[in-house]
Amino acid sequence: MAGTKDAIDQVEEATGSYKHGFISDIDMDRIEKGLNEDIIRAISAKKNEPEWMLDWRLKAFAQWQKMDEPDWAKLQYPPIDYQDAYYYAAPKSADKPKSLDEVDPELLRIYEKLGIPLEEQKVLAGVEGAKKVAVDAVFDSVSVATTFREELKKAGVIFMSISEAIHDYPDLVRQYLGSVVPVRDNYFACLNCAVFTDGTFVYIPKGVRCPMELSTYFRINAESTGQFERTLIVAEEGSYVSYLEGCTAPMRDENQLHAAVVELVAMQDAEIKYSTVQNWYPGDKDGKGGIYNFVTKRGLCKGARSKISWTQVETGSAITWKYPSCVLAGDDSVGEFYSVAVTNNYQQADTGTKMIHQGKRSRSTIISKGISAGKSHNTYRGLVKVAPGAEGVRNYTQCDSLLVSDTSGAHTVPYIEVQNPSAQIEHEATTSKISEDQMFYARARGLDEEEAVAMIVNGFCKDVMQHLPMEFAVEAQKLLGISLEGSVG
Amino acid sequence: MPTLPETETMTALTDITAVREDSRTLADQMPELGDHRSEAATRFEALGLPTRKNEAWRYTNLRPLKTEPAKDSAQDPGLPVELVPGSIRLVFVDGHYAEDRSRIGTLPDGVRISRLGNYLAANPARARDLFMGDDGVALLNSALLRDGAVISVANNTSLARPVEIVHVTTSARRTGCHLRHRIELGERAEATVIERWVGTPSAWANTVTEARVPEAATLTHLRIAGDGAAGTITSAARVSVGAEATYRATSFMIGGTSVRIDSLVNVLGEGGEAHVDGLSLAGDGQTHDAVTVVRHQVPEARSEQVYRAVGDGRAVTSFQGKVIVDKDAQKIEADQSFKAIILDRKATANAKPELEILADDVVCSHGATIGELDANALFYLTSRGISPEDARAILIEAFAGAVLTRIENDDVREQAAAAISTWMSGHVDGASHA
Repeated sequence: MAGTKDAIDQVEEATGSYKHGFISDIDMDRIEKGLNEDIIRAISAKKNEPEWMLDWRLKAFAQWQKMDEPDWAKLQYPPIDYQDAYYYAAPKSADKPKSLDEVDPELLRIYEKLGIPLEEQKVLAGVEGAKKVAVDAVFDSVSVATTFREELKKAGVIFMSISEAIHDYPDLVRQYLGSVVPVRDNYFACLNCAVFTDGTFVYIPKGVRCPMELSTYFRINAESTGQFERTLIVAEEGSYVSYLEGCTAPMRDENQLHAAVVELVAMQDAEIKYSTVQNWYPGDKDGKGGIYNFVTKRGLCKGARSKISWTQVETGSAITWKYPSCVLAGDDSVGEFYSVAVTNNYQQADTGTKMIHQGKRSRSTIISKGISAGKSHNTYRGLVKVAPGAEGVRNYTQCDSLLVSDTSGAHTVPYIEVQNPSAQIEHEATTSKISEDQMFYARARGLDEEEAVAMIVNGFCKDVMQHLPMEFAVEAQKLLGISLEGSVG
Repeated sequence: MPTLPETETMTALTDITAVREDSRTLADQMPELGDHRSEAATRFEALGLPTRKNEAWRYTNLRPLKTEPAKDSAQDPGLPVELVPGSIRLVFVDGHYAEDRSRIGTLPDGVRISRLGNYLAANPARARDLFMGDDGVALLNSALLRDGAVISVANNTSLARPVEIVHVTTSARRTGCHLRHRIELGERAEATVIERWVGTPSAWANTVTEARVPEAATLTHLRIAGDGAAGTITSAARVSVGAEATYRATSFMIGGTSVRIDSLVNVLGEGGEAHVDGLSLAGDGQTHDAVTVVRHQVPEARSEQVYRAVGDGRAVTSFQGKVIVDKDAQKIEADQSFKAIILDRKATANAKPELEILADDVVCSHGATIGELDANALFYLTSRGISPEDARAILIEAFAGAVLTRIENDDVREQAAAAISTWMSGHVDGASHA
């Protein structure tokens, strides 16, 4: 099994530490702590935003103050003090660099260390012969570099930070921003609307197959800083894009908040493939520190035969609250959700998806694999809804949970709501542990306990991993091994 | 113990002043319950009736309780034919025990059947064990319960005759009839309890049944809202299952405007088994909601849940099933299967099969499917010369059969099969889903 050896090596070399946990000393430009209208005006001013953007933020903030923090997820955490955080922290530099040569070399070194080279001649994760990957690097509150822009521009693809897009393509941004996740959608999304500082904008014109993988690499670095980014991807008729997202943060004792919003729009015959390897700092083995990850991700399959596919590997974060969803409005549209969520130590993950079927003959597939180790809790929460007018809908859902310790919890909370008789909805779920037979067999072949667990877990996740782009699959397999380290024996 | 005055039936539904007043009026009836009632009324005041925002009541339709009923005349629906000939029968009309309609006969040694009031007068300490409730519906039951049956079966005693508890409502007004039953089995005891409902569309029958199934005992518990049932019916069972004991429950929802059957089963002993099954056949305008929580608190136990639902017209059928496996409750086998068939474009089916697992050495699974009748199977049957109506009936019968075959009592199974046939003759005409 390719990659397993790597995973094992990684487990061995990682020696119990989160390998992206270093803190970088970079000169930061911050707006003072706290959350109020003035802070929002200051963020908007820093970004030199047009009036409509500020209005939008202020309206969202007014709305947010009227909302209550949701408590329905199976998560326990102390109350978050929204006033005790920086909402804007950016590496100090005179102006946005015009080319990579002008980017602070210290920043480039950080990304190099994370395995994300920003020099265009290099490729992600050091895989020989891999395809080119364009990267938008978001460091704390701002995008610091976006690679391959010129080459993409030739194909007509717009790939830039959302702050730039607000200036360069205001009409496009205005048309789609908040169209999939409305401002008042939920507490965390609404907060994001008020304070988001950067993110990525992708626009694929009609009939264009994006010539390379696009990716955004998120890094939280500064202390007491929340990261609030927004991603907006619009795929016009007949276009295709594959987008990858990665994230890491330093090891700190405090809990840092990350509340992102991702909106995808797929027109007729368009396809968006969105892959995430979420590796925020999960906290230490006693549950101290770690990122609170409250993310709203939703795709709208607007046109007929459009397709949105979410693949996620969730290994990090102290708290994960995340439900990448598809609104299948177009006839014959397709939604997919492939997820691996691993929790260890005191991590808590409440994640899943929503498939809202509105279009005729729309189809969806949900494959979710949850692995709980240590004292962690891992919950799949999902909704499959079939609207009255949606004829001939098909859904298949499979949720499997694997328990690696007797102190962890695995929970499954699926909702199925069907208002059309022609729908065919199937849901299956199992919860089990690694069987002694499997372990015995693997051990008899000379694998030690940890190697055997890593191999069995990788096999358990295979249905999901095969949907990741190759560069990410390798990294994700390594991560699985590292995340489960110390969970056996 | 004085008999209850034949006053006007309770009117209190959601209005807290009326609830307080009614619970004070009732204070004289079962004085042992004084504190229990007032605390429940206070807690009800804070919570009110659950709405769809309460997760556990997401799919239940309690709206009829908040609206004025259509002009209707009071009527006595009469009693249904007994399910098993020779059963013991306890009849409650509008929340009052109706001695003249009930039939107890000679009970074997070790079996006692009494009214809740008499039972509490003899065992006042037991008032404290009564379940208070954690939602508005159960709290209202605690505040306003007027009566109920207490069935006790001593150790090593088997009660061969089933006990049939019939809830009759006759009122034409919005009325709530709150009853509390208790089933107390001894070790290695056996009993069958059947709860049934018949009544008028404006009434609300709200019962809570508490059952104890200790070591090696077996309780078979059927709850039937058949075609004579009407109005709103909420029935909650709270059951504890001991070591090597078996709880076998089946609920049938056919009649009623809005029927909700709750089962909370705690498996507290090793080798305990819980089988919690149900079948819903819902027609136009009906809401049927089955809610189960099976909690495994100890290792080496087993539970199975098999639910089937068929919805026609504007029916809404729902299943919210939950299996909880506590920490250290290893070697649990828990299965859950829910399937729904939608016969009409306007019908809705909801499912929420939930697992909450805190032990690692367990095998738990659930499966849920929702869809229409299999077109290939229909085609196959019709190609054999079977009419489309008969073909549908055959498929639905087979579908419901998954629940029927699990019923051990032949009389019950046959009557259930007959009820399904009757229902189908009214719903499988092919007209609504051509």
